[in-house]
Amino acid sequence: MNPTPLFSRPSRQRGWTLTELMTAMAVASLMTAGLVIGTVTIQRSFMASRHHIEAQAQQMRLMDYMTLDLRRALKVVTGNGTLSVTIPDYYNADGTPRDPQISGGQAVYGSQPVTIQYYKSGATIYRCAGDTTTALATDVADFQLTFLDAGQSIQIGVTFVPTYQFAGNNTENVRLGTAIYTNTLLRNKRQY
Amino acid sequence: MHRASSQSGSTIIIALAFIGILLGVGGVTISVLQSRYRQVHQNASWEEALLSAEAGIDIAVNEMRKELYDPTNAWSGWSNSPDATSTAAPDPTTGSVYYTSKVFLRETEGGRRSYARIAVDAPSFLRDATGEQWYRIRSLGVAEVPGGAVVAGDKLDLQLRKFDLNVDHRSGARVSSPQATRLIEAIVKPVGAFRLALFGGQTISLNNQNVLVDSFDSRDPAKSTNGTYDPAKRQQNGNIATNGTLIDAGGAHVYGSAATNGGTVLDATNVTGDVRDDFYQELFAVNRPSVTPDVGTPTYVSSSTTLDAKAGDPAQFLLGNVQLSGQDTLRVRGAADGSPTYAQIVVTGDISTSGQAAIQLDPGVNLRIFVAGNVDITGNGILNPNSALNLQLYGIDRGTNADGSPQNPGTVKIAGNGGFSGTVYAPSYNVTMTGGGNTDNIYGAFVGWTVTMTGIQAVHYDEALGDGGLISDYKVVSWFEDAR
Repeated sequence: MNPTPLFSRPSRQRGWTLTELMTAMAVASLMTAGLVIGTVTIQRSFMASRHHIEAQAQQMRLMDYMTLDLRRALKVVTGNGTLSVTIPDYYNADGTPRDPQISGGQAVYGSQPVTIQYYKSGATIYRCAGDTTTALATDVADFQLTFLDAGQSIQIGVTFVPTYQFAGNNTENVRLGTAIYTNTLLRNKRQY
Repeated sequence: MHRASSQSGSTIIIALAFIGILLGVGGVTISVLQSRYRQVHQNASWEEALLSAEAGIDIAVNEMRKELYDPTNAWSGWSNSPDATSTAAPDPTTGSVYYTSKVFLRETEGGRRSYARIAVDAPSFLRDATGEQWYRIRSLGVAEVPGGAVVAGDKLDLQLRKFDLNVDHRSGARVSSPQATRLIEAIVKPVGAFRLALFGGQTISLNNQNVLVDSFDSRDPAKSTNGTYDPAKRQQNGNIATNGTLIDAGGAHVYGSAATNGGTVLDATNVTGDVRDDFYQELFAVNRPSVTPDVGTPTYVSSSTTLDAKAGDPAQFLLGNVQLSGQDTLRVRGAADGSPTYAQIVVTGDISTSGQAAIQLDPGVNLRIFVAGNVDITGNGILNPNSALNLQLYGIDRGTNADGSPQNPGTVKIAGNGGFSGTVYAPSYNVTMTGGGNTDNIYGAFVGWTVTMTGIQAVHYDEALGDGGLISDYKVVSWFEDAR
């Protein structure tokens, strides 16, 4: 009688038992589900972060555009989420700078000061200078512009609603967390 | 073992695939992050360039101020050529002068160098109606950009924030390293010595609650009537200030602000404007002008005398004393038609009027008096039918102690029958204005080491005075960023 090898496996043990298969499938399913959920979560998180970063970039762009014009403004009007800025008529028709003239104790460029408006329409924020309108920020339906007129300085606030929220439907609270403010001193004496 | 061999090959392929996917995801993530990171640094450099440009404006204005307080060193280090090769003495009134500031190193993450390239000129079209020269400053702020010559940010960002990664977008010249530049053009005008109604180097004392200080603007019909003071159009720029620590407002009605240099304003109940303690304004010393008196002019005035002002360059007079009494009158005669005429009198001694004596200006006369001695104006005082700016009295410097106080302060006393219209700039003098029992109206501005008002008086400050008199400072009146 030949002895049975100690580690030889009976031929019927080469397959998997139903229990083993079920267990393996359950574990695999759980792992797959976890992987899918994790992937989706990471993707959503990535998209939310990306939205946040892009929104912040748009905030900064809007701020920089508006403060650029405010610094050189002669006149400023704020109201209803709209900023209207009048700047000197600095450029000739060919785009070159013009020489100022002294008038009324002031240095005056040209005769037609340029009015620039910032406003939101739908999901876009525009900068309108004369006949030229430029979309400065798109897909920003959740953006809010606020202005505080303090005489010789203007405060601008830009807020948005982040994708991820922890305050339920109270968007105003989460909006506060994204607020950026800047105070700009008008370099020229304000004419009104 | 045969099956195991084939399975190991699949594992390697799958593992490599996973590694590739992970590397791809990681690469994209790093690329996105790096782009954002680079954009942040580029934006910071763009902001830094603005700070550098504004610093350049300050540097240029400081040189203009040196012309007033330290003329020997004004425009030192500047050049008549942009590349600093010119050896001629720089003078903005003869052409543009140039300067490149020292380099600032921003010692933060991604820190780079920043500096300003400044050009100043004084073109003829920036000369105002009174002949004063204004200046134009163009300051280019330059901030080097970290992260290499790589574009970052959206198209709209790049339309706003222009970077010279390889080529200067203004000149077309190649740049040695990526940079952000911002260009500011500022127009600077001279500011006269009479920017405040009352200005005391040490103190201001208003000892009567019936004292009134307010303002009007003779240039603006809404703020004056026919160029003269109208109480119905009173303005609230009758500001009083001191470089010292004490203003005794004495309950006076000040239609304007009261400011000290870290001190106190007593009895400020009737001060309508701000009460501040953060004031300081440089007081320049008045030097005795070099005068060559016109032929035939007197050397002393002690009886009725007529001096003729003239159009164009002022008539020059050098007097030892002016002492008038009784019915004596010193008349400064102008043109018959009242057109502008000019005269400059240097008095090496004292000026005094008493009794019914007076110093009288004809219409159109512009008179500057420089006095080294004391001034005592009583009687009919000084009769000036013109603007207060047409009569400017300057107290010549009397030496300064180490603490800035005058070594031997002189006195300027103004009393009399009222109606004084003129300006006094005497920072080494104690200036006293004495009123009577009825309101004594004074039109002008007064600067002294101390300024004291007694009796019932009203000082009406003409805001137009701020643009007249000897230049005491410069200020930016136009600021524009050329964002091309």
